[in-house]
Amino acid sequence: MNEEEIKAYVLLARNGDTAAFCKLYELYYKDMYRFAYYTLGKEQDAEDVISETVLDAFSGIRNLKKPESFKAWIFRILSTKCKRQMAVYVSDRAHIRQEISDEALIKDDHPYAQNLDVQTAFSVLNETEKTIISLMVFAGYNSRETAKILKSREGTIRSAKSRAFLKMSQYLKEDFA
Amino acid sequence: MKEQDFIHNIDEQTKDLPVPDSISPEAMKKMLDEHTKNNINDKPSSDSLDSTKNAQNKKRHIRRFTAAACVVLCLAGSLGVSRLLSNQDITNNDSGATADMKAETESSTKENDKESLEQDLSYQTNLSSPASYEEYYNTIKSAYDAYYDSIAAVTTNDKDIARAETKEDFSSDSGQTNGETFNDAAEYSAEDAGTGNAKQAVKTKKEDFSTTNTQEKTIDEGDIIKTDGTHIYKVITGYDPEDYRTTYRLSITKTEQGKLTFLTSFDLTDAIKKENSNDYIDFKEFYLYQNQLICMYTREDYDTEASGVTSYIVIYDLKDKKNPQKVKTLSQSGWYESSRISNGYLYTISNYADASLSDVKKYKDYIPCVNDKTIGCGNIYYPSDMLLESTHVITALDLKHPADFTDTKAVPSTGTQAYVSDSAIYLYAALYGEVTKTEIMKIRYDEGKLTVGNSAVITGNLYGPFAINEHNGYLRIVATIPANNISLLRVFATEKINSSAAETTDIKEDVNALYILDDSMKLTGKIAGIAPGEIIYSARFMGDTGYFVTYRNTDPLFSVDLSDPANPVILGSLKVTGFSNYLHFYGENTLLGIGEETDPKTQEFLGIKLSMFDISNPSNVTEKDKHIIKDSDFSEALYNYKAIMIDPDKNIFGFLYASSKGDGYKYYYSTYAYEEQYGFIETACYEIDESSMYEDGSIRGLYIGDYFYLTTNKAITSYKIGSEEIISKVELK
Repeated sequence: MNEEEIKAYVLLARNGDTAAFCKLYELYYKDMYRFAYYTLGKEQDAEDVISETVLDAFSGIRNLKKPESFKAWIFRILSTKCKRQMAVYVSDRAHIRQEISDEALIKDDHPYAQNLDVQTAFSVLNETEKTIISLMVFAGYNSRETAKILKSREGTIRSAKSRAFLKMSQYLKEDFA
Repeated sequence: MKEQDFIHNIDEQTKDLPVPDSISPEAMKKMLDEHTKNNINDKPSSDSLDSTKNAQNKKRHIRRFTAAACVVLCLAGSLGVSRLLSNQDITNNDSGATADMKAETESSTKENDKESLEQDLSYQTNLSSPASYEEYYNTIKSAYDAYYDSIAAVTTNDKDIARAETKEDFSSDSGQTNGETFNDAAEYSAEDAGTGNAKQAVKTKKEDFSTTNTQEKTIDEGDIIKTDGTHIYKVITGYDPEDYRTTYRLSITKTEQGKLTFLTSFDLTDAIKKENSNDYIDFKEFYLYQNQLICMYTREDYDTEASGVTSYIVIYDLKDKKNPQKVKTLSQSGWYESSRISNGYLYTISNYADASLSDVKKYKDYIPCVNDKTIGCGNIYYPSDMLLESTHVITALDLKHPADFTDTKAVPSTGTQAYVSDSAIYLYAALYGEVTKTEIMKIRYDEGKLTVGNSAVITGNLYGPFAINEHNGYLRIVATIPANNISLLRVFATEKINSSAAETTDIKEDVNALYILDDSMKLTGKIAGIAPGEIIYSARFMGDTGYFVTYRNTDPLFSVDLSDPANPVILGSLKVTGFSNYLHFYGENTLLGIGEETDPKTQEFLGIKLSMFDISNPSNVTEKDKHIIKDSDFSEALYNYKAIMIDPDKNIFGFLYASSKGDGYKYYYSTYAYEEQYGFIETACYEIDESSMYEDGSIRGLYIGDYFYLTTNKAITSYKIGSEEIISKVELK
């Protein structure tokens, strides 16, 4: 979908056209789900934040001043929602990590078995790092764009990113590279 | 491993993650359709979806994304978005307010006894200023440290206790007041009288040309188009594909009895010096004031250590219209939020969230600046919730002597929207929790001096800018208390209607309320339980009477007598089909509604509707005439009041809409008049050419004398008012 088409769909969605909105959503929802799943680590919560994001984005699309920045906008909503959810987890972080490794031991045929390494690696990151890495990996943003979405500075993003990669590399398999 | 490879590898490994059906585009469409059908499209609760599983979430007061997108604090390099440490007294009120509300949904009841008034409103007066930057730094830092300690140390069950304790820590830390006093009522009325003799901010005498459609007649608002009666100033936008940014130019076109002469256009962002190539400069809006052009900007800078996001005010001299000269640049920390011109002063509000607590000596890292100087301690106020409230910088500027700001305040606020009366600025924002509330902070102004006042929290949220209005020192607000039905929507979406989730969901009805607050932000009167099951779509206040529209199947237009602030009384309600999104007093005893016509049985949208209400007897309002624009659907007028050209004295109004009434789906701009004997008259209808269709945000109409000017992003065309015959046309470039 080119920029003009995105613009057109945003205008339709503003007018209450749910089908047009879902056309836009379809472009990004897989990445949005990956983002939510790996930052939150829980399937159900990932589904929940996506539903909330969709509702808020649809209701608020009239506030989207630049239709061409729909993607950055919806990811900003999503990352805000994920951060809220993560704040709830903060005190339970040890517990979450435990849950994942148990799952890994028991279920070899777990549908996401191959992703568990990545998930474990994600679980060692703090909330800010998770959000930054997810935006870069799943939404494909560079440091500068990530900084804009998070209303942070590019330098902060760059150093958090390097720190995060260092932490994650310890949990990823040797042959990962 | 290179970082780029790292990213690539994670991407590869996770690409095939199965996506659950419940969030497929089809399921989401279903959910949104249900959502739209249920007419809760205004403000979905951001509450957690599963009440049993995420009971913890319910306790949190969270803001909607519009607010949340602006509050990602970067303090100490950490996050702090969720309202874990929410204002305790608000939380405590929730259960009471809910019960209160339920009881009242039976019928509209007036609440006058003090106790129940208190339940719906909490206010704070204990804002204090730091004695030094160091004290400010240490207080905020210790609040953060306490927060992280508390969440690290406690188990889930102890969280509530931890919150209460942390809260107490905060107040003892910030307990040093510096004797800030709040104006009493007497002083307040003196202020009021002071502004009374000088209400010339927008129109001094009856000038025969359009002005921006503003919330308050005497207070000007920024926009993308303005005229001084001889020239049209219009912002034209473009896109720079190399820089991925929107470009903004200001065009100046001379008008002479419909004859147009393009004089010049210049790049608005050139006025702001780029410190480095990665700076992003965003133009926001502009004003015209006595041959000066006042432009508002935000600059985002991510590369230098010194600054983050800064708002700019640039003043151009317009003596030579062909060659406007930049005469003054002022700046304040944070991104631009809103501004007004009142009585010759420009009041500008920006939102500062770049604080970084790395070094107590680096004042500029955590103290907001104006004109690159840190704001003095006496003008900074401690937040009551250290972790969440962002700082709003409010400046006052005398436009006759714009050398420097006449006053500056840095106040903590969740507010992201501003209402400005002729004596005060109100910042407000919704707090989303079990019951949605709205926090309102008052900052008085008078001749360029700012005084921070009290804050109040009311139950419910505001549908839009006209839901709040001040008159004679009393603030009147209509609010909708939304039902908590997001979980129900999800159930619809996943077709688990018979599952236990549906039974455990707490489904309440939407309900509305009207509040009156006195000048110290204390509640004096309210009407609760208005129109259960409906939400507010529009409102307008004039003097002692208020009008507002709620909607479910039909449009009851309520009229309220507000003459006794302690005892507001609903005078009547008129039910008509459809609803009005915008209300405007049109002449002595008539009220114009612009909205949508719907089928009362199916709620099917039938087109954009104009209604004229006879309000000569507020107890018995009648609809004198209505006009439905054939096959129309979308109009910017339904949600952006500045997009409406309107002047009841001249009997003209107009706006842009989309319709398939002619040959295909097109955009049109129509002008209307209203005559007692004929009702609505469409005086002219202009078809917007195809190439400007998606530029709807930039299509505006205005009039000067007997001529009407239709402007797009590319051109201005002139007509005699009421005629569709082109007189003159110029390209904007």
